Amino acid sequence: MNAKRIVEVAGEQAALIDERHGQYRAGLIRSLIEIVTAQDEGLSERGRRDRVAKIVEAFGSKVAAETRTHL
Amino acid sequence: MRLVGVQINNFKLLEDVDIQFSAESDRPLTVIRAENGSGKTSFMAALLWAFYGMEGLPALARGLRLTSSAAPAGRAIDVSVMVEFEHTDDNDMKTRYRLIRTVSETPTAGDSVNRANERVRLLRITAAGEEDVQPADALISKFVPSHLRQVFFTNGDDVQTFISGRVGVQQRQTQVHKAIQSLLGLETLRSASGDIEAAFKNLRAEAAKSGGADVEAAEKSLEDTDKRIDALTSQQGDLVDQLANMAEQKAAWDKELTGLRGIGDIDALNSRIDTTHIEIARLESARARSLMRMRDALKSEECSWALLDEQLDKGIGLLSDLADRHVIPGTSLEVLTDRLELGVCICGQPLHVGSKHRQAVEKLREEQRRTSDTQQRLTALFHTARQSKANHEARTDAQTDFAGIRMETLQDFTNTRDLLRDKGLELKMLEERRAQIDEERVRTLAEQIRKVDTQVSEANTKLGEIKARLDQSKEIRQAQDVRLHDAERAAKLSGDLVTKRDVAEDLLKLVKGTLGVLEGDYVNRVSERMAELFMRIVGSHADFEAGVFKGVHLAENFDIVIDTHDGRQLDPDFELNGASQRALTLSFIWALMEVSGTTAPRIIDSPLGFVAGGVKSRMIDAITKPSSGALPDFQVVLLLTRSEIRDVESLIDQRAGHICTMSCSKDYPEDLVYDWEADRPIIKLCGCNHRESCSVCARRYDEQHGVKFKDKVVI
Repeated sequence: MNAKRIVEVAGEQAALIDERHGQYRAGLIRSLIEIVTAQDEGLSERGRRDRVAKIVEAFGSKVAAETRTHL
Repeated sequence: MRLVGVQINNFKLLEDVDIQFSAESDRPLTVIRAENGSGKTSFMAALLWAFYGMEGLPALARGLRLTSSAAPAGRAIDVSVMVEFEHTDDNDMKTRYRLIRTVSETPTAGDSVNRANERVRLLRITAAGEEDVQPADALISKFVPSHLRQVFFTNGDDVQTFISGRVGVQQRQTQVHKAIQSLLGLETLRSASGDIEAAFKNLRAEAAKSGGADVEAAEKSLEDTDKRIDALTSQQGDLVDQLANMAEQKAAWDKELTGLRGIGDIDALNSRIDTTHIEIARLESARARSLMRMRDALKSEECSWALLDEQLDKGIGLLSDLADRHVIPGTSLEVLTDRLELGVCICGQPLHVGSKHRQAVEKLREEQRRTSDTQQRLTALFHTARQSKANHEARTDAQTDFAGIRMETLQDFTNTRDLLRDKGLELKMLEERRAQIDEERVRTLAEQIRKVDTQVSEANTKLGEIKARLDQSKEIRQAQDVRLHDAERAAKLSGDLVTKRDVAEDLLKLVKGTLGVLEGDYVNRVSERMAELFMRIVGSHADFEAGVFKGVHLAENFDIVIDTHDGRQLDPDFELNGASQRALTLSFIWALMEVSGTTAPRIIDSPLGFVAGGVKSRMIDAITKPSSGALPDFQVVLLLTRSEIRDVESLIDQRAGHICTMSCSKDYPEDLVYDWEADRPIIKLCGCNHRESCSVCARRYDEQHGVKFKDKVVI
């Protein structure tokens, strides 16, 4: 499956999630693609989980910062 | 990924072969024309070796030499395959790569070889030059995963085994499932989902920790329940797999047992053999009784009467005649003696002593006396015979009639003999059938089936228990979730941590939703597209009642099911002809590649064996039709013989962007027209298309295939 198809499907699914701020859904999709790409990087399970945790954490931090800005 | 070209050196008989592939999106087809033994299989093997190393070759071929068997022993030969290909990334950026696999092979005196220095290099070609990609195998595996090589590199002869019953239902479903999982990215998304879930749980725990002991405790309870649910779900999955395996194993044993019982049930056969032995013994007694009756009948007076009656009648007739003529009874002697004693003749004249009359009577008495012994015996015989005959006639009836007895005993004997012969043959046949049955195997199978039935029953019970515990755990989780939210509301949690946790939860929802759509909607799309292609290739219509196929679909268990108009489902192995099997496999591969958006090449060796007529042209049409609309570009390489090309020349004219021909020197003089004067068998490539030939590839039967000689090329 190429990433384009995943983006296509994920785009439809993202519409079901609340848009926390202007680019929130797009950010979710970007993070998902990063996470999917990490699956093919040949990392160990531990390494992969750490990598995914960092991606989630980074996006979460960005959203938290955005949220603080908007409050 | 799109192949650009391949350069093969010293691989089997391909000493120096350079093939380019069509790069035109409106002519996605490359045709390599080659007859049997002209290098098609070696070409496929060379590509597989280049991408996957020795693991890519069929298991039996891995120990064999890669070099020509004509190569002299003791001399090292460098084997190399260089593949150039292009990859388009998700941002539509094209990158060209060069894959080079080499090995030094030294044939030994026997058929074995020593291999050294196998190397694989993957070079990324950029405007600035070439750069090594490390590790090469990891990227290759990403472009064309090894476990899907049957999808990308398909051997026409093996094409059926991808879906056929020959590989077992479970294995077939696994193969189809794996291909779908891989090409639709389901495996990747599942793994991503697991990773996101782990991140979410960590963030949830951190956020809870920031809210104080009550929230942390509530989160901990929820986490424990989640772990329990995961463990139970995993157990449930394992049990479902076990049940599927057991069902398949049982079906295989059932089939074997039914096969053995087709010869005959061993217990039923033994019982029939015993019964037949008893019947034979009874018939042998009956035959002995018949013989006894026959012997008694032959010794009886009735038998004598039957044999002598005619002669006796003749005798009685003669004796009656004698009696009628008064020759018998011989009463005249007594009369004459009486008359002589009385002295008066029967005529009244006196018989005085010394008279002539008396002398005449005395002479007559003397003559009578001489014949009387015989007369006496005849008389006795006459009377006895007449009496006996009268007695015999008086007592003759149906029961004592010899002819009747004879007929009856003979019939009895014949019937018994025939029955004995039949029973003997039946016994022989039953014993032969019993000899064919491996009694031990029948008993083992019956025992195994009994055991697996018990195991299935136990597994189902366990599955029910797990399901109940799972339902209970989910209810508990719901309550715990409410408690956690209540505790969170009552406490003050870190805002950033809560945001991160909620973002992770949104990502989890997104990946699960995406996975759900791909598992459902996209698998259905593969199923529908496969059905559309298959029905088009085999020329069937779902609404044409008189047709055979109503459609095909992917079942929930990933089995490919063929539906008929009479409501049956066909076994792809036994109830589908070779052409339809190929059509089904190719339809599945094409549908999966289209729906998943995969651009990997599809290389097929001899796809048109067993395929002819309309199916042939529709198959070529379907698998070479350029992409349109949202469908991704694709590339197809077909290795075809002249026979396979026949009747699809026009389609090849339209669809092929590149055509070449491979020939082998060993075919001269039988098939090849020109002698290449090679001192060993080699394979050469020429640029002839499917309508022409040259001094390299010209074959003696080219005219039959409408192939025209192009020109004489200097070899």
